[in-house]
Amino acid sequence: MRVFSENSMKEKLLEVKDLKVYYPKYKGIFKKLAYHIKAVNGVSFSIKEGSTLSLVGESGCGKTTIGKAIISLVPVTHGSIVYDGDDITNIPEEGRKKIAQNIQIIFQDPYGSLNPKMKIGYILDEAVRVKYPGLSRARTAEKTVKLLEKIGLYSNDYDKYPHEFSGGQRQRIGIARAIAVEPKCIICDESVSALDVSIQADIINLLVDLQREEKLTYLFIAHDLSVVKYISTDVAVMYLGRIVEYGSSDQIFKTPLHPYTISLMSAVPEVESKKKKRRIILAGDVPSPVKTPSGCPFHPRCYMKREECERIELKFEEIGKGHYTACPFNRGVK
Amino acid sequence: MALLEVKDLRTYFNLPEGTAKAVDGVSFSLEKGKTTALVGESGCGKTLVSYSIMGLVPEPNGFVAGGEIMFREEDLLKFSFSRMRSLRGKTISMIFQEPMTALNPVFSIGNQLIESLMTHGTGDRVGAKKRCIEMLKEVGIPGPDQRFDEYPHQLSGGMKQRVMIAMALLTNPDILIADEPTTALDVTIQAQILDLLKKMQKKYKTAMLLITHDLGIVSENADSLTIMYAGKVVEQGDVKTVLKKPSHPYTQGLLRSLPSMHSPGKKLYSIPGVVPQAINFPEGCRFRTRCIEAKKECENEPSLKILKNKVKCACFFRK
Amino acid sequence: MLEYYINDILRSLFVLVIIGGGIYTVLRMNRNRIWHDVFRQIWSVPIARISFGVICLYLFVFLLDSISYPLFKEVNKKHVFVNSRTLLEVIYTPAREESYSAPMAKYQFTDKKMENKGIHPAGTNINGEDVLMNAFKGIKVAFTIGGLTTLIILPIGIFFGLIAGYFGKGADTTVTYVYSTLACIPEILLLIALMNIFGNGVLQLCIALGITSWVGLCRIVRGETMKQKNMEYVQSARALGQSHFRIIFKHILPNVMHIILITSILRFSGLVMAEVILSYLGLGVPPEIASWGIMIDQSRGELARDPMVWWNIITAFSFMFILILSVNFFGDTIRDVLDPRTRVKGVKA
Repeated sequence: MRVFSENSMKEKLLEVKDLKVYYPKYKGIFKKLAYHIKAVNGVSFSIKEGSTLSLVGESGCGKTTIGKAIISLVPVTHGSIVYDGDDITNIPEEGRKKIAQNIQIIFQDPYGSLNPKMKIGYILDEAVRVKYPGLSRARTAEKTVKLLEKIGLYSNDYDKYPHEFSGGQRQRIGIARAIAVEPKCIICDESVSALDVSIQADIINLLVDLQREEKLTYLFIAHDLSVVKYISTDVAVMYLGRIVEYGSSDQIFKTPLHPYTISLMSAVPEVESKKKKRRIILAGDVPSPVKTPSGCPFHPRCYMKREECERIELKFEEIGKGHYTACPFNRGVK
Repeated sequence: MALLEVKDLRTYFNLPEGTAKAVDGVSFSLEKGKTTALVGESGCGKTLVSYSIMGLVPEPNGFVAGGEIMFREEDLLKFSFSRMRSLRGKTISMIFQEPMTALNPVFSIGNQLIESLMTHGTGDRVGAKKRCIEMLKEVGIPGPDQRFDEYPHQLSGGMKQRVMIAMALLTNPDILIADEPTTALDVTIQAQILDLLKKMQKKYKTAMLLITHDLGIVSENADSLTIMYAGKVVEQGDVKTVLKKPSHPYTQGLLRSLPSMHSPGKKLYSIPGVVPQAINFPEGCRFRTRCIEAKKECENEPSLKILKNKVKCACFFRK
Repeated sequence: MLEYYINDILRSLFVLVIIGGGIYTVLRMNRNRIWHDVFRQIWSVPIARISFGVICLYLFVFLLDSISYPLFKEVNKKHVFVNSRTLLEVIYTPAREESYSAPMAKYQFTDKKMENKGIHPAGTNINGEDVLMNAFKGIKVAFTIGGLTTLIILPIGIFFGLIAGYFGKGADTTVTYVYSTLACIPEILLLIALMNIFGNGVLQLCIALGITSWVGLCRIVRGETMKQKNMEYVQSARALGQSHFRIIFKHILPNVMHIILITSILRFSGLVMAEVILSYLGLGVPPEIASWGIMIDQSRGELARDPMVWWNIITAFSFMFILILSVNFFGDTIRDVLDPRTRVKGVKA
């Protein structure tokens, strides 16, 4: 049980500065550098302790890459990642254990994220031992059973294998593994996207409860806007490796500024549409980070594109308090 | 007048542990120019229903155990293999969920489009090619003449799905079955594809069976709605009526658990329990193990009865 | 005199321990839920049951042929060691003739009557030895070669496959370079060259076969490792800060095991055939040891004789054929059960 006062909440528990992740592509017999795939192309944000920042976007926008880059599962080409004052960019495998106790990750696929040949009790034991390395086997197992009960499973599930559980239960085990090391920050990489609606609600409730009890900080990566709206404190909308709009959840959902954010929200089908929605159908495909357009990356599909958009340099400007957008032409116009 | 009427369809699986009654008495109908949505979570049997209509139930374990599928006054289930084959792709077409794997990677898309026309039409190759290119333009693929000779891996997910739609509509089918057509696509592309399907349906007056788990898509694209749970139909009726005032406890639970229905901070409602496996469907009302209103009577099976608001519901406690 | 007893006891114990250990491991695995299901599924296929029975029969003969005790002869009031006599020879004691005789015949080729009125179900060869007995003895050679070679291939192939698949870059390039080069040399030529260097002998043959055969297993393990490495459970282990060593051996290896098992079983038959071919070429086991390859080699001129001596080659060939067929059927069934792609999934709606 941690005791906190509001004042002790760190403003920037996790800070990302100008993050770039480029994958080089070589062509030819002599392996000459042909071009870079710019998966993440200059991203900066910070997360306040105890809050939830969501990264939203479609495939190819780079949100998953950011999640992996923060814990060095993919190499960072440029920029820095600072956690609680320490620079954790590109940690070597040997120094991993220390970071593992502070930041953990929950993956999307409940079927691939657990080793099918390992009993779930052993999977969780392994995680517990990261935090408490000297413990005897019996004591480790005790802690594991407590974890199981915390996520709503039973002590006799210790000896079962992953395939004996449903998708929702496996995702819970993934969550248990992440909280076993008692981290302060958890990256949820599309953690509820592969689940049915009613199971999704369960898991989201669990995540919210855990956040409240353990004062966790979440980086929530998702593409489902209704989930994001429910769970986030702040939202960053990404397109083609860059953040195009950033603000609090209220600001983004009530007064979106960037044309992409507006199109994204209008594209989501809703059950109860109280007002007749003007549906904005974007032309063209979701782009791939291989050939990034010049100027503003969104201009090929933007419904309010002007000629200058092909040439302007992207600038992030603060419009409302803490509400930033990268489009200079859309100021409070819906 | 119903174009296709499914009556009491039963499709079972023979597994070593027993017989799985995956589809157990499902009935609905399709009307010309309208869209019927078949909704349910994974494990409810909706994909199997579409396979049963097309005659593609996976063998050797699966088989149709009973029911009728009336199309133009004939029972499709009694059709011979070759007769079903002549219907498939021509009168009844299907779009699958995964555009990535539904197209053959070693043939050009033009080749695959022509193949489907040639199988069901005349031997005129030149005319077929012209029609295919026209169709590609209609579904919104830019530069259809060049794209005709390209291979599936050169197209994006959204493009591939458009090609699938083109392929399905080439022969002007009476019925189009769309099995989770947009689940694997991004949200903005999903909007494009659904818009396209609506346009095509208006133009060709196709009857569409839309299978999905997303109630948002249903509310904006379907006319009538059938909700399935554990192989049975639990609620059926007009889309607006059902979604505005759901009758069956399961439908109510589904709608209540949508995050968009809650304001941030309030705990999300979730239906307790998990979807049972096809082998172990409970006796009586299959939803009773998770239903908050379950009582002793639920040990008997409820039948679909018509309520006051013209919606069909399978629950003892609804009028 | 005592050394000979100890020698034989040790050798018998060795084989007993290995076979006993094998049975014990299988029974332990059966207690595990997953493996119990696997065994049940394998057993439900009739062909697998028959093949397994046949393999067990062969193993039984092998076992009998391995338990031995020394024989002595009195010469000048001193005990001199003559030979080791195996249990097999105790049970089945065919008489030694002088020369050829057809199966179940009463007369030898040399127009002499059979010694001790013995009956030879498969006839005798040029030295008068019972052909069936030789075939039985060949089983021991086949299993020794197959088993020992597999024991040599497994650690080398698995280790290099895991290293190459997991670490990629430098390690992968090196390993790939080595095994690609090795694979470019025709196997038979390399075997001939190695056997010429090593000389004839069972152990030498096993080493030579091991050197040429580890490449196949290594390739498969490497491919499977690369696939598993990108799975999310490995990423999770990395995120937990687990060491490379632990990830490779505790996480990846158990998930590669099924393919190693399938490959090894199916390769076993290839090894048996390789021994037969090499012995036929005179490069395998020394001719004093009875093996199917030696039998086939000896029968080279026999088919052209008048009357034709066919029983030598047919017996050797049948024994080899039946064993390899059974191992292949059994291995196929195991692959059908263990391969994740062909497993019968539950109902997907």
